[in-house]
Amino acid sequence: MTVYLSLSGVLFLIGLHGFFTARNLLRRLLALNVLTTAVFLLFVVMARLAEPLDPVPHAIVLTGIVVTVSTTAVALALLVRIAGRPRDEDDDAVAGPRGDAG
Amino acid sequence: MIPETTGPVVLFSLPLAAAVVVFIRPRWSVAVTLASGGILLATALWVVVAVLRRGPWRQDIGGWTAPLGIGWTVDGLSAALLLLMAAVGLAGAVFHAARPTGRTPVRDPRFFWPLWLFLWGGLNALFLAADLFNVYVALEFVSIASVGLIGLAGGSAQAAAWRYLLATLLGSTIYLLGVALLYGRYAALDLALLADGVEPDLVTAVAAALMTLGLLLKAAVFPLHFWLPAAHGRAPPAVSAVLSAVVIAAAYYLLVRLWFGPFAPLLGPEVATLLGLLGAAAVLWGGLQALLQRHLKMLIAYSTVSQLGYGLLVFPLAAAGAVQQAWTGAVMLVMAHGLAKAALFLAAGAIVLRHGIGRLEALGGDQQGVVVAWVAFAIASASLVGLPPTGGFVGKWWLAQATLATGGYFWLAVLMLGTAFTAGYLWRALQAAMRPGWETSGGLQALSPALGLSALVLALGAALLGLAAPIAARLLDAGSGVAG
Amino acid sequence: MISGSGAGLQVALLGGALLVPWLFLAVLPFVQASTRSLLLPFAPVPALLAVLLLPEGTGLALPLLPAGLAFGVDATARAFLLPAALIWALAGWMAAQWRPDQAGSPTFGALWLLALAGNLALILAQDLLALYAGIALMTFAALGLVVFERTPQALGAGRLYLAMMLVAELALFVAVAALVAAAEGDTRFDAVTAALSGPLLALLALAFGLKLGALGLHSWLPRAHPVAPVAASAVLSGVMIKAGILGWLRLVEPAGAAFAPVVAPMLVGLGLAGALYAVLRGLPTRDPKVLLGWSSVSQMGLVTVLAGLALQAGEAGGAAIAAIAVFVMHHGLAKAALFLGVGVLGASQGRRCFWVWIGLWLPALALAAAPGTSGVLAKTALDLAAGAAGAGAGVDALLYLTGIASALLMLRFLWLTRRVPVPDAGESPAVGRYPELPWILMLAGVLVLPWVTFRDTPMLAAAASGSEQLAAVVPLIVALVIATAAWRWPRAVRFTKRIRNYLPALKLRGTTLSHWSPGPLQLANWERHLHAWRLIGRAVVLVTLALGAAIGHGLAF
Repeated sequence: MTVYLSLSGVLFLIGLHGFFTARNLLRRLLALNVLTTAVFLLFVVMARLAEPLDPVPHAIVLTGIVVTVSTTAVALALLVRIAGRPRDEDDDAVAGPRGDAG
Repeated sequence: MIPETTGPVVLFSLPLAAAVVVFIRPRWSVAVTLASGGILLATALWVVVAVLRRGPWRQDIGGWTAPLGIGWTVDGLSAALLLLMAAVGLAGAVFHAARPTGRTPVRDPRFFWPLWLFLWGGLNALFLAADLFNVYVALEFVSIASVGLIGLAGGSAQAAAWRYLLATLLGSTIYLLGVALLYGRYAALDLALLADGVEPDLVTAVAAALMTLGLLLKAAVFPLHFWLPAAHGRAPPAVSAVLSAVVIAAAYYLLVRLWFGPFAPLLGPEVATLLGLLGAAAVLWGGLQALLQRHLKMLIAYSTVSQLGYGLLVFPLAAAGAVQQAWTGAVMLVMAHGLAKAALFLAAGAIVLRHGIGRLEALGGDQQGVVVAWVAFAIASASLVGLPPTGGFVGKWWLAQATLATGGYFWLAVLMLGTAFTAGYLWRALQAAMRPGWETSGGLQALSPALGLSALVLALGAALLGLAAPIAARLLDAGSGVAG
Repeated sequence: MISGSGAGLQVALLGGALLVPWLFLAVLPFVQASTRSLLLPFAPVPALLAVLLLPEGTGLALPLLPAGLAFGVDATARAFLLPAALIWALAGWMAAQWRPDQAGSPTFGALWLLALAGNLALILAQDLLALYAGIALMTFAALGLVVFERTPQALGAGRLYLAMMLVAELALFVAVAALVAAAEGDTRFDAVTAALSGPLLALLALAFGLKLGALGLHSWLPRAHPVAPVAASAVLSGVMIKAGILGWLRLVEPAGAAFAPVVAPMLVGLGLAGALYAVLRGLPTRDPKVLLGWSSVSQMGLVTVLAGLALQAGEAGGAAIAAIAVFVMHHGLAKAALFLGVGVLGASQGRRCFWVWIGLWLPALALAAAPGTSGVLAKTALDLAAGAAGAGAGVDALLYLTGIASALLMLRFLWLTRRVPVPDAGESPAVGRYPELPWILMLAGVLVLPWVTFRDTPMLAAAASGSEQLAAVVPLIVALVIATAAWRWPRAVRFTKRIRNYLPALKLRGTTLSHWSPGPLQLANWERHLHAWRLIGRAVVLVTLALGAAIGHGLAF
C-alpha cells in the first residue's frame, strides 16, 4: 500500500511540475490529467485501506472520471479553437522566449 | 401549504430542466430563461423568508440520509447567496436578451442560454450541497459552464477562457486531493459529520491546506489572481457580471463554510493571519492595478480582485474573537459587492456598446442612451466605496467594529486604504463620462433601455441592502454554524 | 420599529421633512422638465415648516442601518435648520427661474435632492450614524454638483475635492466606528461623547476641519465652490460647509473640557490666522466667485475661533455657541445672496444690471459688518464670546483686524462686480414673471431674519445699542481708506498680487497618478510577471508551504 501511496504522491508532483513548466498547450492539459489520476489513485488506495472494503471511494472515482472526461473534452474543444488563432498582442501573459502565454 | 423543502428542489432542478429545453428549442430560449428566472427569484426569496421564519434546515434527497445519500443544507448564508444568484442571474439574462444582436461577436449564440442556465443550476447546487464531493462536482459544473460562456465572446476571450479553465481545474484537483485525504482519515464527506469528528492532526492539516489552496485559486486571491482580469474583462457583459458577482463569491463561500465548519479547530491565529494577509495584499494590489487600467471592464475586473480581499479579513478578526461581527460584516460585504459588481459590469457593457470601444478616454462626450447606465454605475460605485446607507457601508461598518473590538488596527488600516483606492479608480471611470470623448464609428445610438435598467435595479439592490441591515444580520446569524 | 416622540402630526412633519427629498427623487425621472425644476424649491419646504412649527424634543427613530437612525429637533438643529431650509428653497427657486436648463435636468435634480436629503438628515440627526450618513451623502452628492459643468476646471477642482473629502470621510468613519465601539454599540450623542479620547479628537478635528475649510485644509474650497453652477455654489458655501461646525458642536464640544487647555488656543490661533490669510489670498483674485470662496474660508476661520472660545470658556461657553448660531445664519444668508447675486448679475443687462449691483451691496455690507446689518450682530456676539472666554487683548486686537480685512474684501468684491459681466453666465433667459423675486426675498432675509431670530438675546441688546452701531463704522472707514489708497496708488499694493510667493503654500496638492511615473509602469510590469505560468507555479508552492506552515505551527507539531 505504501508503494501506491507514494506513487500517487509522485504522480501528483510530476503533474504539478509538468503543469507549470510545459510550453505546449496540450502538454499542460495532459499534466492536469496526470494530476487528476494521482488523486483518483489516492481514493482507490483509501478504499483498499478501509476495513471492511469501502465502496464509496469507487463511486467517487467513477463520478470523478466522468467529470474529468467532460472537462477534458471542453478543454480540447477550446484548445482547437485557440490553436488556429494568431496570438494577439494584448495577451496579458508575459511572452517567454517562445511565448509562454497559453 | 407547500413545505419549504420544495424550494431547494425547484432551485436545483428548474435551471437544469430549462437548460435542456432551451438547448432543444433555441427559439424559446429567451422566454424560457426569463420565465424560469422569475420563478427562481421568487423561490429564492421564499427560501430566505423561510430561513428567517423557522431557521436553517437540512433535507435529504429521496429520503437517503448521510453518509450514503445526498443531503442539502439551507441556512442563512446559503439562502443569501441563492438570492444573490437569482437576482444577478435574472438581471444578466434581461441584459443579454436586450442587447443589440449582431453587434457583439458572440460565437455560437445558441449555446449561450443553455450554458447560462447550467451555470445557474450548478451554482445553486453548490450553495445547497452539504458534502464535500458534491461540492466538487458542482464546482466542476460551474467551471465548465463559465469557461464556455467566456469563450463565447470569441477572439482574445478564448485565450482568457483557456487560462481560466486551467486555473480552475487545477484548483478543483487540488481541492479533490484534500477531500481524498479527509475521506481516508474520517471516512465521511458530509460537512456536518466532519464538523463533529475532526481532530487537529497532520492529515487533517494537510487536507485543510490543500483544499484552501484550491479554493484560493478559484477565488483568485492574490497572488493567484492571474486568470481573473482577462477572463472577467473579456467575457460578454452578462457573463462578467455573474462571474465576478457570484462565481467568485462561491469559492469564498466554500472557504468560509470549511473554516467555520469542519476546520474550525484548526483556525489558529497563524493561519488566520496568513489568510488575512493574503486578503490585505489582494485589496491593495488589486486596487493599485485597477487604478492603472485603461479599459473600463479591466478596471472593474481588477476591482473584483481587490474587493474579494475584504472577505478574507473575516479569518483574522474571527480568530481574534469578534466572530459575530466579522462574519456578518464580511458576508455582507461579499453580498453587496456581488450586487454592485454585477451592476457595474452590466452598466459597463451598455456603455461600451454605446461608444463602441472600452478605453476610458473614449467614453466621454455624448451619453445619449446610457445615462441610466451611468447612474447605475454611480450608485454601484457608492456601494463599493461604502457610502452610507448602502450595503457596502454596512459591511465595512461591521468589519470596522470587529477590528476595533479586537484591537486589529492593521486590518482597519487595510480597510481604509482599500476604500481610498476604490474611490480613486471608480472616480477615474466616472470622470471619463464627463470628458469630451472620441467620435467613434462603432458606437450605437439606439440601445434598449432594458440594458441600463437591469444594471440600475441591481445597483439599487446594493444600495437598499444597507437599509435592510437588521434583517440581513438576522438572516446571516440564522444557523450559520458560527458560535455567536 | 419606527417610533416617534411628540404628537403624531409633529412626528409626521419631521418625517416629511426628511423624506420629501427622497420622494421627489423617486418621481424625478417620471415628470416633465418644467415640473422637475419645480421640485427643487419645494423639497425643503417641509423642513422649513418643521423648524417653524415643531417644538423641541420632537423625535423619530427608524430601524435602518446597523444600529437604527434617530432624528429630532433640538436647539442646535433649529439654529442650523432655519437658514439651511430657507437657503435651499430660495436657491432651488433661483435655479428653476434662471437656469431652467439645469434645474430641469434629471441629473442636476437628483444630485441636488440627494445633497439636500443628506444635509437635512445631518442637521436633524440625533445619533452618530445618522449624522455620519448625512454628512457622507451630502459630501458626495455635492461632488456631482461641483463637476456638473464638466469643464476641465470643474473636473480638476472635483478631483481635489474628492481627494480631500475622502480623507475627511475616512477619518470620520474611523472616528465614528471607534466612538461607537468605545460606547459599546450605543450611538446616541451623549453616550459617544463620553467615550471621546485624544486620538479620536484629532481624527474628528481633521475631518471637520476639512469639511469646514480650516486653515491648511482649505485648498479645495476656493477651487470647488466657484466652479459649481451658481445655485449650487450658494448652497455649498452658504449651507454645506456648516456641516463641519455642526459635527464639532455635536461630538466634541460637550466633552471638550478635558482637552480645552491644548485644543482651545490652537483653534483660536488657527482660526485667526485662517481668517486673515484667506483675505490676503482673496484680495488679488479677479473672479468674484473665487473671491467669495476665499471669503468663506475667512468667515469659517472666525467660526473656528468661536469653537475654540467655547471650549476655553467651559461652563460659560454659551455665549460662543450662541455666536456660532448667529454666524451660521448671518454668513449663510449673506454668502448665498452674494453667490446668487453674481449669477443674476451675469444674466442681467443694462440698467437692470446696475440695480442688481446695488442689491449686492446689502449682503456685502452685511459681511463687512456695516451698521444696521446682521454683521454688527455677529461681531458683537464674537466680542461677547471672547469676553466670556477671557481671551486676551491680543485676540481682541486680531479680531478687530479681521473686521477690517473682511470689510476690505467685500469692497474689493463690489469693485470687481461693478460692471463686469460675469463670464460663465447662463445663456438661457430667465423664466417666470418675476425672476428676481427669490433673490429679493433672500436679501430681505439677510436684512431682517437674524434680528428677528435672535430678538430676545443679550447679544442683540448689545448690538442694537447706538455705541456698537457707531463703532461698527470705524473698520469700514479704515477699509475704505485703504481701498481708496490702493485705487489711487496701485503700485503701493502690488505686493498683494504676489502674496502667493511670500506666504507659505498652505495647501495640499492633489497629486495625479501621472506624477508618480515610472512607479505605475513598474507595478504594471510586476503584474504581468505574476501572469506567467512559471511564476504562478512558484506562487502556488509558496502559498501551499505558507498555509502548511501556518496550520502546522498553530497545531504545534
